[in-house]
Amino acid sequence: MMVEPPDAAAAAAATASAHSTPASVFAIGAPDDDAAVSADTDSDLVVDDADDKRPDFTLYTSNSPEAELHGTALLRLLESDVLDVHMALHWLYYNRSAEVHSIIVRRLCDFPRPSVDFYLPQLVNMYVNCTHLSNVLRQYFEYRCSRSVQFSINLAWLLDAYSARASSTGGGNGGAGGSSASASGGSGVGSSGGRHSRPCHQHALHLRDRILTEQLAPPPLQRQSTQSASATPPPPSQSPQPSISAATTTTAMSALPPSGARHKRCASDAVNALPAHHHQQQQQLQTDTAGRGVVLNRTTSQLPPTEPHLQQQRLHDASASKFRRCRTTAGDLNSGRAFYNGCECPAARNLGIACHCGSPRLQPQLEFVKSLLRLSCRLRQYAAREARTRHLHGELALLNFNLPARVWLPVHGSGHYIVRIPHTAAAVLNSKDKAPYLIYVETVSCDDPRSAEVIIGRGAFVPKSCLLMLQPTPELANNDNNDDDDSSEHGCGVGGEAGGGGSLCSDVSATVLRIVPDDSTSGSDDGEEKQLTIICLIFTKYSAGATAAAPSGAVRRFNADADEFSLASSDGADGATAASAAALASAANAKPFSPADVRRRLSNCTGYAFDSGLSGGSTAANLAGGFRGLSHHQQLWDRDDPSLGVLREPIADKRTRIRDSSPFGFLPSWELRAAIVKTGDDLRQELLAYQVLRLLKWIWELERVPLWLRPLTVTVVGDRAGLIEPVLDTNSLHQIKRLQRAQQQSSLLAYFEQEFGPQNSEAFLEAQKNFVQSTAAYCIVCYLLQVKDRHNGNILLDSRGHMIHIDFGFMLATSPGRNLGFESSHFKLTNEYVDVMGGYQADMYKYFKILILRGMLAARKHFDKIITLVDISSAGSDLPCFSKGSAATLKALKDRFHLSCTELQLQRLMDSMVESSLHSISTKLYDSFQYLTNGIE
Amino acid sequence: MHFEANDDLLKGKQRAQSLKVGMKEKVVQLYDRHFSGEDISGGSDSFWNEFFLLRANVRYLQAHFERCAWDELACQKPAIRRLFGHCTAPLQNHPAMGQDAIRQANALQTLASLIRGAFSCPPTAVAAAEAAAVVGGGGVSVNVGDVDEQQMDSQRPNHPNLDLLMPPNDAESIMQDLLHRLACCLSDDVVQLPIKALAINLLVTMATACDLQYNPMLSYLVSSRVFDCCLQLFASTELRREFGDSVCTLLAIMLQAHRHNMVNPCLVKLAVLDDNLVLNGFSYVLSLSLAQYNELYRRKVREPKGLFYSLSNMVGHILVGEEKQLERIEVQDALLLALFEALHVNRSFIATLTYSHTPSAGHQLVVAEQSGPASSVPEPTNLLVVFLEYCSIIMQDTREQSMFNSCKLCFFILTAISEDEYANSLMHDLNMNFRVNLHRLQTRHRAPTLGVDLESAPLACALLDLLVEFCHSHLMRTLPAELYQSALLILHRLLCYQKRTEIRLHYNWHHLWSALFTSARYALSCYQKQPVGTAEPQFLRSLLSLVSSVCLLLNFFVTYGDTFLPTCEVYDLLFYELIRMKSLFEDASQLSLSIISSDPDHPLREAAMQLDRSLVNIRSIIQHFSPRIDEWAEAQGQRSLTQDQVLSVVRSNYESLTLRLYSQLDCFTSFRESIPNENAYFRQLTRKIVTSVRKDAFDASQQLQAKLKDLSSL
Repeated sequence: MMVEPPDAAAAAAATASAHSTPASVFAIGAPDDDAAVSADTDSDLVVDDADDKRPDFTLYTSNSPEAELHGTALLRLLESDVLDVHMALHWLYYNRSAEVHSIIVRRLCDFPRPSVDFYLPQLVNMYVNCTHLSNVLRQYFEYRCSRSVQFSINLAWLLDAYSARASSTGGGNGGAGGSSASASGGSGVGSSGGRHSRPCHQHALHLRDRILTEQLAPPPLQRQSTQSASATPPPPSQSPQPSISAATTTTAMSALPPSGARHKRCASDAVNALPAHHHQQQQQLQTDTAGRGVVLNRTTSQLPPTEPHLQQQRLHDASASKFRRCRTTAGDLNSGRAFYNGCECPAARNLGIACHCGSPRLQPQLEFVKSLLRLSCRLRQYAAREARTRHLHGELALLNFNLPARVWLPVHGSGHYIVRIPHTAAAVLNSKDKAPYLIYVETVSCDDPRSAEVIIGRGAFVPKSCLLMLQPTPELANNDNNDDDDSSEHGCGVGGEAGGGGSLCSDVSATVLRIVPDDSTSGSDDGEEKQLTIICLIFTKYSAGATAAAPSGAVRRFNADADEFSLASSDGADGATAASAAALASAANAKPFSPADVRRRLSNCTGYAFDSGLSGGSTAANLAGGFRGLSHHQQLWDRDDPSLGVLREPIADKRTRIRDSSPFGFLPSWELRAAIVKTGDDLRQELLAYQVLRLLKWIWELERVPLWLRPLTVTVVGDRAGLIEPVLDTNSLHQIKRLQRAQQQSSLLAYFEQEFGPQNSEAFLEAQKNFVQSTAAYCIVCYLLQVKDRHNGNILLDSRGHMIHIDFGFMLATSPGRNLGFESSHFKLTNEYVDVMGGYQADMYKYFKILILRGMLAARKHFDKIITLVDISSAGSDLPCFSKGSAATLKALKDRFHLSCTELQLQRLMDSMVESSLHSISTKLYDSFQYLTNGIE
Repeated sequence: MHFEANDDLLKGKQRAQSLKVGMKEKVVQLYDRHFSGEDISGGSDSFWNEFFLLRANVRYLQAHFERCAWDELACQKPAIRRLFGHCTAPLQNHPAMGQDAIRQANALQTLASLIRGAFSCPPTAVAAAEAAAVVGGGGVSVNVGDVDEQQMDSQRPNHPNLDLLMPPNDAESIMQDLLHRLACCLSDDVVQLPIKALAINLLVTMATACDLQYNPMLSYLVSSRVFDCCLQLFASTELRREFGDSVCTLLAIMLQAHRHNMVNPCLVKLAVLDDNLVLNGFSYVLSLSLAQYNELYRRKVREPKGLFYSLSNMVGHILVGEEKQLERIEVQDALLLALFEALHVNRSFIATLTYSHTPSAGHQLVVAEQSGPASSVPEPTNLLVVFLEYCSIIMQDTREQSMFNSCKLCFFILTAISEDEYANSLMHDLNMNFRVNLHRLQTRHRAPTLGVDLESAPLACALLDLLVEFCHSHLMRTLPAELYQSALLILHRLLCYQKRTEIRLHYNWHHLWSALFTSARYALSCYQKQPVGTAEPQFLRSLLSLVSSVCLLLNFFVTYGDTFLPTCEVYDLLFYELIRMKSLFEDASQLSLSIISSDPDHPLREAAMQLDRSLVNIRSIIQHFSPRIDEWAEAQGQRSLTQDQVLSVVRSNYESLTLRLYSQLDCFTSFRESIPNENAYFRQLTRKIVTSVRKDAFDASQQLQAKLKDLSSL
């Protein structure tokens, strides 16, 4: 099972590379694109100041004799500055000495957390599958869990994912068991019961459950006082006396163990301490309720002495009901507080202080993700995509009622919290049996979502642009008069309505109401503009007589010609016809127009028409036009594939559109983020691919090779669910070809010209360069990882010309079609791509080949990192990509680096690979196979 | 119905028996003694506490009040007042547990009975005058038909019926106290559901005690906290399932109070409501009830329709006139009214129109027997979809006045929707497609279609379909011109929105035009068929203005077609159709000219001139193209042309045509403006609702009583 430690050369290379790259350089968490991950400040809580010292891992050092060490050289390496995360992982995995392990784990605490978190899947895999590492890793996990909510949640999910599958297959639970486990939300609360886990995974599940039951939370501070103060609703007449609550605090605090003892959690202690800790919590709870009772008694005795029993009972019941409500709302989307953990700390009141009341830390986020996953499961019950979409929108709207909340979108780090989900922007993606869907969420950035000042208050959800803002009538009338002259050209906007409102406003006794959000609820002290001051309503006191005299809105709005006025109001008896009267009135002095112009404009607007095949062949097919004159949003709406329209809208447009329509759009740090929610698929392999891509990207940045990759963040939630970051602003080649067919075009080059301009324009050249750099990068990736199933639906082009590969479901050792070798070429490279590069003689094509070579050379230099990563992942793994045996797979991977080749040999090799890929018959075959079977062009 | 009749019978029997045997229920004995002026408490402090442990006999109390004439009641006034006063006492114990709950339940029932009873008896004129004089607020004659609106306020404290229940000087405080307790009862989580049900029933009873305008309790009700508490009920899944309908009814009535003469605080509260959960709950309750109605209707339509069935049905219909009434499913005007007010007043409510109500929101059609081919999963639906289907059902039969009124209300709601910018944007959102099951009336040449191959489209298409269907199916002798007019208004609003936002719907506009032509033609023929002297000018005028509205809409297409029509072929088609309908427009033109030229004082002169003006463009289109088409036909030597041929002529002759630009085509009067004109309508509608709700409230109260009996202890 264990692979021999790499040879000396590799070790030397590792050290060499380590020398060239100080640990601090390796900031995987800070790529160019997502600042979110880098802002991943790990959400350290208030406790950090007090005890940020490392946990005491010295236990093993004292136990193990010095002689066990391989040599002082290794010890020195481990203690030195050159040790980086990659090496740490390497030695942790390949070295069997307990002392080395403990040293490395200790060192892990020193590394920047994002860089360690990068390897979290590997750490978890080691924890689950390598029993000799479990103990020492558990300590590290516990240490981190007590500090970071995000880490706890990620760890729990990963533990679930890495232990569940293995155990369910081990226990003979079929696919049904797996799917039911994912149906329960994947977060694993309560799902452990049904599983027969192998003993070696028991510890992982146990750790997961401990995390989820908050046993690894930092000790609650001041819990008593806040709880007792909060649990007692101040009686209407007076609030509980401070002295009393203080008294309860002290008594309760005395029940706590000395705080020092609990932080020093050594191995033996940790196991025993847990039940005890649990017990303590219960005790605290009891004392807590007792304390509350005291408070209640005291306060009630001071109430007016009317029926003291009843008063007391009432208070008790009220508090009980409140307590109950807090308990039950979590996860209940109908409550409006589904993502609320009952925290009554100042944080809940927006004072910018992190929660410390001991309410469940993880619950809101877990519930949030769980409800997203549950939704995906429920979507599957519908066959039709429309029904799915409708259901999706409905449930997201419901979800919306529970926002803003202190939850975040996992794929984007945790530097934000979610204020709203624009539910109609969400789309169900194409999949028959699974129902992945894409959501957009509006977020506001913050350091730590848990202490963020969440905007409370449910703003009106009618977009601001659609709300009629009332203005004094005269101005309105003037404006409209100006507009009126060319009213045929541009519409009257909301004028029709505003005009009506305006004239209402001027009526006898109008009351305009304004709602200003209460300062106490949304207590932002920096004087954020309160744009929630929307209101719009007027109440007019109509007297019976006033009606006749009240001018009709249309007349008032448009002009004050006396004749028209009389005409309109004479007919006002049944106000229905007033509009037509007003409209007709000025027909006499109307300007002429030509229907020929109208028709010309119309034909200009609807420039090209889709062929009927695209619009679903419906009866309205002949009416279905491609609408160039319209906003992008409507432009490419397609009956067959509504998600296409959603995805095609440029993100910048979408962003402004949603921001305009959002009640939270005015917030300065408002941002639109997106995620794909997927259930029913194991995303661990995607995660592995993501890690390799990130490594390669980092390697190329380090070696200054201008290759471009776009790793997509993956969050694994349990073994059959997860969230994926979507690539925004992209089209798949499939979509592009479909679109082109509609326009009777047929080449990628034509598409490039259409999107970016003629071939010698700057935009085109820029796009071409991007295309070359990204294609070369993905060629290397596809070659190294043997990524298969490269049909055009899995290859995207972004708005700058970059090519992006998605879906790493088949890689390393697997390919679709029972590994029959459909795709025998090394990577997918077609003549079309070369055409975009300018043909076989063009410089860009040569540049492409050079890039591939340089990329390979750079990757080869750091091959050990990739090998280590993949190797650790393969340990005890049941991922399909290791289905042919991890040792063989690993060896094949290593061979693909061609370590023994000279640079010249490698160049020849790569060139021949490019040539053979270009002329590969299997690529064409696979494409046409996909076209015939799945309709992917 | 049957149940009730049976019960009445039973009751009668019981009463007969009890009289015979001289055995009465204890509480009935106490009632009798109390009303006869005796002090039943016997000086014991705890008597009343125990009294309310006895089950209130709603029926007996009701019978008692019905038995008594006004004068008798006037004599019993002190006793009634005392009982009323004692009833409020148990409500103070709060929250109610155990025995308290029983006391509360009985007290609430007694209160409801007292109020119902006290208001069931019309006071004599003298009594009314006396009651008014007690406070000295100027003699108000209450039972005179129309009350002066200015005097409504002063009438408040001294209503003779209210006077029976409480001393007029304390009425204010008593009522406020009572309402406060009821509000607490509604808002407190601890209060059990049956008690809440009783409280709501009491509130409904109060609100419907008598006609809305004369109801003295309504003004207390409206200004109390009750309205907020009712709204909050919508936020809870359980409560809204339990009480949704009755609360909606209550809200609708409260919103109608003082609609026309003073500001209603409820309206203000509803207007500023921005709690999404509440709004969503509200919309959810409405859509659930409407969906239930739709489901019942669907089931009714699905019933076997054989020859035998129809025969027996006919016989049955003749024999039991009322059977039909029972069979017809009650139209829930109160809910419609609530929907209308919510839409009309609250801008945020609009957004909930298209919120899908998914099963996970606890939305389940609770139609008693889940029969038929139950689809595995109920498709998510939303209020607007349900409402459109509901409209299509309501529209089928507008002959009866009540149905006509409901239909009119539906049109009001649609107008309010189509006028709203946001609602329009939702309806035109291409990302939100729905299948709307629009029902079509079965006619001789058309079988009822039910949900077959429905196409999923944006909601605006469904609305257009609905309007088209309406236009086609109501061509009857007394053309409901008013409804037609509002249908055209809705259409106009939709078109204006499309024009403004340049949205091009995938809609078969052809259908719409033919509907417009048909209605115009029918209106014209209606006009011509009217006997010359006898027809009322109002109707004739409405016919004329209907035709001119149609013309205006056609003008809209001609003028702004470039902004919302999908292709230029459709635009050509419009001209083709206009030319095809040549005779229609010529008739209209002749008619208008004949009226204008006949008599300068003709009552329809104004309308005719309007029509004439709206015809200008269409006339010139026809005059422009017809000769050219004829020429072309002659040149080709063909007598009849195909559509394509005509279209090609049209296409080649656009250039030389010039039309007039109606400058205000794309503007409309705000619907809000016209609401005050409809006061009479709303008053009538509300009166009808109040009457039916009052009856329902009594039934409900009896049912609750039966339920309380079942519960051995609350």
